[in-house]
Amino acid sequence: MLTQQLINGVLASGIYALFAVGFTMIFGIMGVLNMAHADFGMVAAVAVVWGVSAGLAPIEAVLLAVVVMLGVALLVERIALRPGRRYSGDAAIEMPLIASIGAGMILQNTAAVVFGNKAILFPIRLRGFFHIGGYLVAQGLAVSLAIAAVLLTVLEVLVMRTGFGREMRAVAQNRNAAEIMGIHSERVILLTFAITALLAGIAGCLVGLSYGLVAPYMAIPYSIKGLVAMIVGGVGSLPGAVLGALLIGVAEALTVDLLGSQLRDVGVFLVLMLVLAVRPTGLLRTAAGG
Amino acid sequence: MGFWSTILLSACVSSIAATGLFLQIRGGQLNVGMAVFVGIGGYVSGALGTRAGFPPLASIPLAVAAGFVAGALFAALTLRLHHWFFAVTTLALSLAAVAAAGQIGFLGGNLGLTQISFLTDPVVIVAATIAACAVAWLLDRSPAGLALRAMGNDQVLAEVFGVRTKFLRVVTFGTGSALAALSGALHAHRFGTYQPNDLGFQNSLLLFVYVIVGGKTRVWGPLLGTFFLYTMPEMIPIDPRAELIVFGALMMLVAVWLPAGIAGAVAGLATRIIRPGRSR
Repeated sequence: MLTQQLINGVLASGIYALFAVGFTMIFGIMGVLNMAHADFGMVAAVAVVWGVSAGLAPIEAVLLAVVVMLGVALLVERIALRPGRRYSGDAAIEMPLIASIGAGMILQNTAAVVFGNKAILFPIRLRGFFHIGGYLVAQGLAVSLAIAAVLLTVLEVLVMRTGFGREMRAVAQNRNAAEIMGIHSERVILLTFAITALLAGIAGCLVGLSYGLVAPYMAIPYSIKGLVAMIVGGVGSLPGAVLGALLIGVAEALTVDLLGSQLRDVGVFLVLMLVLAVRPTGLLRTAAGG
Repeated sequence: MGFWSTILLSACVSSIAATGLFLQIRGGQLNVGMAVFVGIGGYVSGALGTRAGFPPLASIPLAVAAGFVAGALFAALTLRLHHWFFAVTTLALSLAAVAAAGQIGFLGGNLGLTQISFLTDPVVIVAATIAACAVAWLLDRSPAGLALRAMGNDQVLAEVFGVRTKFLRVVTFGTGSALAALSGALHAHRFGTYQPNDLGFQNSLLLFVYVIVGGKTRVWGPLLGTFFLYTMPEMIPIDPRAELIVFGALMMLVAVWLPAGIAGAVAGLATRIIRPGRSR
């Protein structure tokens, strides 16, 4: 039973990692917390539902969802986050945080008005199980974990091995110095933001794929768990975010095993408090982090 | 009871918690899980009434004390966290609290407490609101209020100038939580029930919106914000489902263009009328 729960925990962590990496990349490069980040996933997921119900093929609906979601994300960046770059000090963090909470409220409640405040059946589902060595492995979550692993590997290569990645790291380290060196920092920030939004969109669709349901308010728990995973792993570190997500997934699984499935969120909180008490900077923290 | 008096009394009850949240935000403790501390008041007062037979006027002060202790304890545990680290911790707390409250049989489990004795006297509610605002106003004017403001601007700098930031953080967060608990207890005795979902993120978010839109730099900002956001949807015919979209848009507008909120705008306007020729 414990092994089965641990398998479930590791499987669930793939989706958490995709959200956590997005949060940490935005924080690393822009120095802000985008509270509407996970809502981009919700936007993509409901856009897929809408596309399929309008008669599109699933693959067309996914492409449409990506376009819609990127448009929404860039709009949020323009309205809610970019004005924050005028400020310095605490206001530079606080203003985008508040504005992006507002943006998240708009996205969630618009979706609730358009689609109704209820869970919607996701048109692409994988609800079966693999039977491996006597244990059940949910197919949807396994596919999600595999996709997350591939995406995060590509991302790590992009950040650490390419010219664009070097520009990203330079902007994260010191935006002014990067500008002086001829890096177009605004372009780098926008591209990074689009990449993180894409990760969130994919993660949102994977939630639908794995659990079969999406809802206007579904992003709230993922948002909280992604943020917690980012802090636990160490802000600004991609491997840290993945480690944090893994820890959250396993902690949830252990809480379910020891205390029952209703209390899984308590486990997340306890892990956060424990890590912050022992290592307030997170488990892995790089110089690039804020 | 009339329609408007119901709305205004609800606004009174919420404004107490919003004023508490103001004190916390003022000191730089961005609490995005305030409903948990509101809920401590509701649950403690409700449980004392239904399980031990306390009358409301005896259980509410105990609930306020419980709110103070819980808030001070949480602040003491999170002393090292700043800004959004703190914000995320309160978010995780609100998620955990809803799950935990649903599992405690003594508190009625997922259904929550029911048949809490009623206390709907408007005089009590208005008196509590005035008392809460007076506490916040006195605190804001006192030397401690100045220290609080300094800490909210820059904690390290405040420490350099001799502000005992740790003590201040614990006490102000406790005071804010005590006000929140008062609001929760009044809510519980007004409606007779208290449920785990009352601790949830949506309620915390609403309180946060009241403070931000009202203005987080003036002590009467949260009061103004709460009353504005309670009465506005009743006066302007908007679809109740679209209400939160409007709230979100207001939050964005205020964050980007009006950092001091409505209170800041009103104060700026008043200064300009009273002393023309001078900007604030």
